Amino acid sequence: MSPLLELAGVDKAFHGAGDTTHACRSVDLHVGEGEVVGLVGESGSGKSTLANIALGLLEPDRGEVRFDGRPLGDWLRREPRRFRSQIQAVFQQPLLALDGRRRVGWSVAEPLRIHARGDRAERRARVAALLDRVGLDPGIADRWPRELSGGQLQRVNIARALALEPRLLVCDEPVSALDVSVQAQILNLFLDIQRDAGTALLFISHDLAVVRHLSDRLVVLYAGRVVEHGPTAAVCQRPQHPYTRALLAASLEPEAAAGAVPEVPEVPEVPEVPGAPADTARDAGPALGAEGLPSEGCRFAPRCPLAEPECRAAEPDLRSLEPGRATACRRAELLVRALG
Amino acid sequence: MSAALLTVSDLEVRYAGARTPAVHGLSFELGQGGSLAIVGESGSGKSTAALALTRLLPRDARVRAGEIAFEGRDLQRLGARELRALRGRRIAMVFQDPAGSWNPTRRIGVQLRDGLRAAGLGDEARGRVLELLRRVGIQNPERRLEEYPHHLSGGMLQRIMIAGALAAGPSLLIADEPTSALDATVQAELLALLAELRAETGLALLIISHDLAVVARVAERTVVLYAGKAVEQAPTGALFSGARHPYTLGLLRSTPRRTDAPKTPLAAMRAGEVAARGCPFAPRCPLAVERCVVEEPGPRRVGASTVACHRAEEVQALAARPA
Amino acid sequence: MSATRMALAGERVRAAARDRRMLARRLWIGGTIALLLVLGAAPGLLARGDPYELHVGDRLEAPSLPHPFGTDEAGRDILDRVVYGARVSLGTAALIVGLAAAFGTAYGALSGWVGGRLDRLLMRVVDLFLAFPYLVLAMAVAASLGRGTASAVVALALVWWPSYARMVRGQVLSLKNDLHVRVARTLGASGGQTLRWHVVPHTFDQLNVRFTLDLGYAVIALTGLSFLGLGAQNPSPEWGLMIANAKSYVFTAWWYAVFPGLSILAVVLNFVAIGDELARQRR
Repeated sequence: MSPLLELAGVDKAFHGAGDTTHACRSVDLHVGEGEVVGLVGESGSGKSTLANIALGLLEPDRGEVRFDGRPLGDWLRREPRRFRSQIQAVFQQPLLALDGRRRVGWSVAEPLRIHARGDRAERRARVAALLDRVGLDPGIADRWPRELSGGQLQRVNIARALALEPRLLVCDEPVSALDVSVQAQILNLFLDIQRDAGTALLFISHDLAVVRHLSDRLVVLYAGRVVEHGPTAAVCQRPQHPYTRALLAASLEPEAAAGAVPEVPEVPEVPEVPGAPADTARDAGPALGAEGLPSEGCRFAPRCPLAEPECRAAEPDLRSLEPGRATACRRAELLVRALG
Repeated sequence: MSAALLTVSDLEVRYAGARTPAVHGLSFELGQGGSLAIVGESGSGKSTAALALTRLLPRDARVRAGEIAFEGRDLQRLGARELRALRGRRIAMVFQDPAGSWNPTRRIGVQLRDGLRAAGLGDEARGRVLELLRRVGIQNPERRLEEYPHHLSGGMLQRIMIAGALAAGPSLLIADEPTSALDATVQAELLALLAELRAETGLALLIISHDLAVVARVAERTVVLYAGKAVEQAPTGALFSGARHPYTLGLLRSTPRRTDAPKTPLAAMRAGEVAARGCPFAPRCPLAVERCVVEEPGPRRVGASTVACHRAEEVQALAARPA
Repeated sequence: MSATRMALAGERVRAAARDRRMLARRLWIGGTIALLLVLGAAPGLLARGDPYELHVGDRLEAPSLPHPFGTDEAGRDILDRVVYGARVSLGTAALIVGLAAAFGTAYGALSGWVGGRLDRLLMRVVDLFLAFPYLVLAMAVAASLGRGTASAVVALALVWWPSYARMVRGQVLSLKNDLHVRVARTLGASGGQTLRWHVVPHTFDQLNVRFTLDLGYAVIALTGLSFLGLGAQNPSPEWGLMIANAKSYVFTAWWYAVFPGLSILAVVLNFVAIGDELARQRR
């Protein structure tokens, strides 16, 4: 069965004044029906660009994007409405995603209006049901966006995204702008929705802890390229790329960081790699831009404790050490051995 | 225990025309070379509290405290000029948004020089600054000083900011969300750097953050703020392993863990208003009883924490229960 | 984020004082608009007689109790004529600005939304119009269409629409990139729907300000044209025309030119002030 969403060899570059930013380079990505795929990347990794490409808002320079087996271009030409009803999005800024001049209920009903689902009375009823579904009081439909809190607004956005019962939700940093306690509520909501409706999720975030919690599979992005992907548990417990490992080390939990709790067996120990310098990745500049990012070879090399001359010479391709997983590191075997 | 470098007792900050104070009843102590974190979510008053110490709040903020003693002197009694002299020299500050803290139209070196001049250091400090820049991991510091802020990454800008802050040899560094705008890997680097610098120079650190993991890495003691009130205060390790306030516990449990079974719901806290009377957390508290609504709990010692909760003893039992 | 919160909190103090001043301003604006509406809709309430009625026996009488603004050379009561003239001047001005705004907005919105070469081309046309001094254009139109209020309306609308086009285009260019606009696309809205529902409504705030200010300026432009003989024609009680007629009597019957002139001044100042207030509210 073909995956629900598939990106193959996607390239996208932006040409600014004087320099070119390669936001996505040869990205392969797929999301199966009902699957939750977590896309992790830091700033400049190209994850938001990928979100826009997946949604059909941007066209890739090279490569293909297919939804349900059909190329996006085909969908947008022949059946744009049907396409839009099956793939929806939730964005990072809850307030900006809503039209401030419209009441909440109007915005939530908008997809129904656009796709001519039901008359006004039916739409009202559906909006009330949707708001209830996301844990909000249906009376909120008469309020203005600026009157609501961040958490409430994001729920409204989710309600709107669910209006047409999409098969895939693309979530671009949906909880990053929220407080920790609110974040937890919204993550639970996503879990809920995924379980109840079997909606597939492409969940994009810079926060590994968050992504880890929701996803069946993880895709790790660095400097516009996929550097590792595989089942969540496997990638987190036995990372096969130095960047993944650095990310894991950087996202320590409070107890472990405070040294308050002795080693919990399930927490992956990330030991020194024999012969390598200190564990932490050195900050050599922004992920993308003039500083620090090489223009050839493995982009992570300047920060990599395992880097060797051949790493800097040519960019490694993705390869599979185990079925269902892949890594773009020449020295992955070394890493795997060290981790045991 | 070294003599207290900074003692704050009963800090209250109230904005003119506001019904409730932004911060009230906040007391804590920071020893020489020690480190303290103030943790809270948005609206908790954590940044307000930090800025209030050195009178950096807007004019309509009324700051009152039993005492704000720094190196033995009550900061409230100092005149504006004396306070200015302290800021930059003895008390340094680093803020959240690296890009926003720099003037985009002037070179880094020029801005650093101006900052140092304001702190009373002349151009002879340049050598010291370059040395500090190298120490914080900036290669080629001379070149970096010639650049404009938009050429450098957030991580680098923060490092330069820290170097500049330390040039005058302060005894206290107040850092307000210093790593929130940075990537996780860069954040880890920066926190490690702060820890090293503290060890080398005996610098005391007051760090404000919403991120428990950040706090866990750098702070010896942590104060948890909710609606402007310190709900719990304890050595960091004890706080995390044995929280005594339902809010602290709730925060800890809201964080996704490696050890969680995949795709299980988090123990999220109930949403709710801040109560105007009684305990402000009562509307959201799983342990709230009649007394909590009526009587605001005062701070008391329970275990290793100083906590403001009527039922603090029962919080650990709550922790043992599944989500 | 916390810095913003603090700044907002500090604003509360100043806001209380501002609220009182704002209430005063709002009452005054409301009063002015009410007066204008009355003048426009029911001038009969304020005037006491027929502005066209001739009383040749009473010509050029100084202001007195029966004729507070005096009479003109045909014996017509000037107060009556000023009151009825309000409807003509303001009504025509509103029509002009309304036409210009409607067309200019549509033009500019489309241009900004579509972008690219079409946008550049459309803006060149706008530049062309903007290059013309309004009087020259008005005279050219009057020459081809004949004199009268109608040609004045056409001429001035032609003069005015380009600045609306330019303003709205600029706004649309910026609004295009807003998140909620992008979201509308993901929901399946067509370009036209997105433009109509999500982009154009956000230009209304600025449009309101512009419209109000322009009303005042349009009155001046219109009265100017009438003064030159290109706009309203006799016996219309249009203010500019009245001033033109008063030219010969400036030294003998000062009231004839002064009262219509003061009316123009009062109206224009009011509109400018209202527009200013609207702009301030937008912050």
